[in-house]
Amino acid sequence: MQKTLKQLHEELKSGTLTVDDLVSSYKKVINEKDGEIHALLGMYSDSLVASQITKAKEMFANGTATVLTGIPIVLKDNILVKGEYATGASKILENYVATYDATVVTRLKEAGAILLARANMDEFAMGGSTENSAFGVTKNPYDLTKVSGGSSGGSAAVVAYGGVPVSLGSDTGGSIRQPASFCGVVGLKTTYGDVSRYGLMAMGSSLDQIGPFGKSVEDVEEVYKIISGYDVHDSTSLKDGERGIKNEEQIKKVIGVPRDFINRDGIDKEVITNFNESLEKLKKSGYLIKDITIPNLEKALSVYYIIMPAEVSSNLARYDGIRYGLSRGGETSIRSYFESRTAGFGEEVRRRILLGTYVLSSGYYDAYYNKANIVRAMLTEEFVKIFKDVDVIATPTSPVPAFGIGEKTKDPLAMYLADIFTVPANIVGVPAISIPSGKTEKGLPFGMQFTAAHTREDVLFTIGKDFEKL
Amino acid sequence: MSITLEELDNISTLARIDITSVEKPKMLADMQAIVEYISEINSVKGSVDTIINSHHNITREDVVTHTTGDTTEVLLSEAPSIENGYVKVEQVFK
Repeated sequence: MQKTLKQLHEELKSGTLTVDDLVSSYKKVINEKDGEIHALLGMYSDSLVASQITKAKEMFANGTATVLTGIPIVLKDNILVKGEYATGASKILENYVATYDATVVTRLKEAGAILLARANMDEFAMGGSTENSAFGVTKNPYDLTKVSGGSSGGSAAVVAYGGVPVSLGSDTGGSIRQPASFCGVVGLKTTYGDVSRYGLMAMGSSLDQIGPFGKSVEDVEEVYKIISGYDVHDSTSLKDGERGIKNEEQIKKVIGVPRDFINRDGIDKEVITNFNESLEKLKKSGYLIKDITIPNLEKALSVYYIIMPAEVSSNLARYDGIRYGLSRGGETSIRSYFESRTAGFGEEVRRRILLGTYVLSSGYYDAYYNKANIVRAMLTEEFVKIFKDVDVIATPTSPVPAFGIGEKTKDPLAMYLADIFTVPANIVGVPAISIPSGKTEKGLPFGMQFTAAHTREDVLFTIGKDFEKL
Repeated sequence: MSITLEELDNISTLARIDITSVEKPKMLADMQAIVEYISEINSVKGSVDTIINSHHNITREDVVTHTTGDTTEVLLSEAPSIENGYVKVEQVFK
């Protein structure tokens, strides 16, 4: 069993372990394993690593060390670190060097964490397998013929193979939870507005959240505490008075299960069996399992595949080949937009931009974008109501375990359908966590997803820790 | 509702993305399948007015927070083509 952050912290504090040795030992694992797995796109510069090591030592010496001081961490490559490459796994940003620090990076630096490397991902976080990375797929550490999931596949895989204890990813429709599930680690998507999006490459701005990966709920909670908080640079950041609002009641120990939604075509039999076994264990440990119905849950995937591409098409309009990123000269300035964007964007990114342009275009706006927003509001109300009766909603994180590399690349809709259980939390803006819940006969991990009410990450941590012990 | 070839050409122009004639049939077929799936939402009843009204703008005080020029150099260093402190672009008309 790998050591927890708190255990590492105690060892660093007492001096039985040094920051240099800890960093070297993780670098060694990366050198041994990443060639095969390809979780990483590159290491951060030696000068950044060295300056954070120096800072960490000072913090231990002067008694200001946090639980992340001296701890190596990997960031998904859509999070900006000033002076370092940040590619979004896209050719259009292949040589882009970030001009400022994301707020999460500022917080990690202040906490004394050692930013070690940049994680592979689907291009601009669009995908569920990292197969859309312009720089090659990340393989699943449990089976090299399978995908690591996505879009934060690199962040999940590097924690799974032991290259770092914790990492950051981003989650727009399941991009933290699904790869966490495929790689057998814990992944948290926070309440919308909880963690600042400043310095995160925008994909779907009303859906995106940065969140942590770790080997345990406790480790994920420790990282969460450091990266969350109000930020003036993110207009949708929750103010202090809007966070962690607890209605005085204790946890009721009631888990809601939307059975009709889960028992559907396309769900793997082993996934269902594992899910039911997990519920049985929770029941035995004193939780009440309650069947629930959320009428608009069935439409969540359609809502997601309208709102997300709509926002993608707007957000990615900024890549014009003029101010930064790949530039291909054209005959006129408008032709240079076409040349640069066509050369720089991969197939899935282009497809989503086109889809977004379509649903927002005159004549279709009412039928798609407006309708999606109506359902989004109805679904949000339904969730508020359900959380009066239950603490969390439980579903499998993914309808299938890690699939084969190349298995779904030819059929984008099939790839989208795998997001069915994760997109609702983003649409509604509530927190959700994926926790390992066993393995298939062939040894691939399963993930259990718990979703809690708005700002109730504390409920996820409490129930998650109970679940880990079962 | 399904997307036509003509519409695909139109939106690719709007999105400033070229699709080659080789790519077009697959792109069109994929998008038709996706649009067919999301069309389940067309029949939803309701109005967006109440939703729009529940949203509000989040603004900050209109005060200067930066010194002129303090980020110019670092930002221009990312531009593909610059001249005398300006970003250089292709001619707009030819």
